[in-house]
Amino acid sequence: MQRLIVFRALKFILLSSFFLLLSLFSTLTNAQLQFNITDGQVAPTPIAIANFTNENGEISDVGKQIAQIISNDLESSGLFSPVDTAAFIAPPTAPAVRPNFTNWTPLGVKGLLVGSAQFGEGGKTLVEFVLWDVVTGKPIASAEGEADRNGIRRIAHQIADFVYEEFTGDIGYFDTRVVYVAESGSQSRRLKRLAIMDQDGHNHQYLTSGADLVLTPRFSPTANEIAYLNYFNDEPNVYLFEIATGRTERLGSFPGMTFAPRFAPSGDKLIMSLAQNGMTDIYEMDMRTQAINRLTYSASIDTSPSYSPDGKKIVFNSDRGGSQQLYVMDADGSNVRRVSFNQGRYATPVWSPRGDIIAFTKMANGQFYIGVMKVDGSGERLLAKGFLVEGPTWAPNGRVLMYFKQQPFEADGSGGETRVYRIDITGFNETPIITPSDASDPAWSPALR
Amino acid sequence: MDRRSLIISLGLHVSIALLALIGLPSIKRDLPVEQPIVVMEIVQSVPTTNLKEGDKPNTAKQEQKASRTKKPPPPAPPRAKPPAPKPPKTKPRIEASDPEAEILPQKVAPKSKPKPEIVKPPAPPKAKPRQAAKQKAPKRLPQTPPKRINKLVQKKALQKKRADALSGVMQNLVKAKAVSEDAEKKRRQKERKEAAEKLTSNLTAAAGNAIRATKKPVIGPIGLSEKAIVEQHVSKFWSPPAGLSNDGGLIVDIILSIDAKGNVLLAEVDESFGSASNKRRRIMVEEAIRTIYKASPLPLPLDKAELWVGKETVFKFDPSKFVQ
Repeated sequence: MQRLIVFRALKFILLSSFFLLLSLFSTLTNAQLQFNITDGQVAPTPIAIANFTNENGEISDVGKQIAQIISNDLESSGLFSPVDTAAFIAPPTAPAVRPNFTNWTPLGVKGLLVGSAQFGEGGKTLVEFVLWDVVTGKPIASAEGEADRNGIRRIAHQIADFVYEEFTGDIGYFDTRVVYVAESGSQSRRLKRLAIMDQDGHNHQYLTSGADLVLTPRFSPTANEIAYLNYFNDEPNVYLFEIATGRTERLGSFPGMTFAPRFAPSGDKLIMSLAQNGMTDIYEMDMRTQAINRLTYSASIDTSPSYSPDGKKIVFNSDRGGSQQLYVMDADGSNVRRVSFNQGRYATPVWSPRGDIIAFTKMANGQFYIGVMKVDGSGERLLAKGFLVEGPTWAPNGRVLMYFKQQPFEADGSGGETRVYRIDITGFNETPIITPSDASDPAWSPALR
Repeated sequence: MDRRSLIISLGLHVSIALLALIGLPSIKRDLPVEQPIVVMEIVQSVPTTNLKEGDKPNTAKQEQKASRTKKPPPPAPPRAKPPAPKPPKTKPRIEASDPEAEILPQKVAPKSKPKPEIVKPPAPPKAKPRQAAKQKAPKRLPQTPPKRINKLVQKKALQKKRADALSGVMQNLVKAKAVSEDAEKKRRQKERKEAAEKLTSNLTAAAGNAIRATKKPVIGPIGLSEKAIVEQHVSKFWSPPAGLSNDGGLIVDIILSIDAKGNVLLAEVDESFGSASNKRRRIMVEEAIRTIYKASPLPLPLDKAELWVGKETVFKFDPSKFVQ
């Protein structure tokens, strides 16, 4: 009897499996088609930037200027390829008019920016624009604003940021400024001044006279102040510079030398190095009370601290292990651990605004490098190299780096030009920033909006 | 114990029956209605067609053929050829014997070979029918005993008389029979011709459809190489934003409606795999939709259109290779 039950059970299992397989097969045969796209083209996005028109629907000088600035910004990022306006079949007349996309499809562009700039009351210029998706024929975004005569460039940068964000998903960095050290004169009597400019080199302005030597300027999170090292009476100390008023102020009064300042992301604290009694350690300062708090305790030199975007960790460089390497610690100075282990020496670490990587200067085999690594020290990539490349600083979106590069000196003492460069974190699109004189120690501002 | 096993057995059988009902949807369907058998005559010669699959029949040619077939006799099959030279021989006989025979068609003559044997011919041709009769007679003669020759002669004379008397009746019967048989044959031939014409026209008209109909069930799934061609084609148009960060939600599923020629009719994101509220994801979605429209028409195997027409096709865009 038991055998019979077992036999029937087996029979049942076999039959049910058979029918289940049959149902599965019938389900599979009715399944929808699916295609997997994992490869694509790495190419700049083709885009058409039409000259902005005035109230009569005609192209004005201001309209041309705005379109040119936007076009230059997008092209300089390396992610866009603006089409020459001469190739346009029928230039649009106004943003309110829906473009005839059959005139734009042959150009192979993905986006079309149409805008107008009209003079309003009080010398203001009213600017409006629409960004169109040429392929689907739908508007991606539109906005309007106004600017005075001096604000044309800035509003154009803001429109470029707008377009950049709509196609990349990252915040734009065109409406930002850069503070740097402008250098002039011979090497023996070098004049170093603070200077500020737009990220594209325009609107250049000197902030200090050059009477004192200045180094390592850093923006506050609001971009209204600059912390920097100032050799006043040959005594190096950290100072604060207010951009709007030009007022300066020494941060704290300590025996010893303070340098390498950097603001906390919240803006209420500042970290820096303090050299005291033959030891250089990292301290944090409360910006309201100017009280300081020591974070590292070592007989070695701990310097170049930089906060993580969330303000919970600090990366710095130290020679406590015998050579200059990168270390990460908690914001209260605990849990210090080394993160760089590759050959060479590491300096000037800067935490990315994205929080996932750290940029640094590396010295190895007689060369200087600008590189990036993950926060645990893995995945090191070197982006630029030269006789002297140093001082990386991040764009607010964490996709572009700026640094300075010095050329080697010739035997007759000539050479040694120093320029600020910009590079994509992919290692491509290295571009020099035009400055009136030699430039070093750049610091990129946060987004100004 | 027996009852338990009976219950188990019943339960198992019921579950099997249920599984069969669920697993085999075709079991619920009605059987196809049996079509009545259509009897068709086999036509020996059917004109061949040059029509290809899907071609429309050329009615002009058919009309021409029809007009040709009406006037002259149709191209006779090889078997019908040999009798053709005979009519000249039979014609004079029929004319001589009976003027009514003129009604008969020429073709019938060769087939009615034995009939002239019975018909009384004029003197010179008489020998032939007799000879023909003699050829049949030997089969009967051996049956009669040789002793009764006189009686036989008498009987023969009587038979001759009867035969002479009957010959007129028979002649008429034969004539009538020949006429009716010929008419029947003519009618049949006409019917065959008509049937052949109908069949050929039906065949030429339905040739393409018939071929297609036989091919339908052969359609299989899209092959790997066919799939790869489509994926490579779409990849040429896809340029995901450079420098993507791995913050998740970047894989995008786009659902397409595609027509039989591979044109994209509609492309929209499948939100069941993540919301487009995230800005980077929204941009990925927009780029994927742009890519699909730019890549249209898709190089799909058009002979398998029923695999996608009226159904949803999914394109999964995965930018993992582009994430930094």
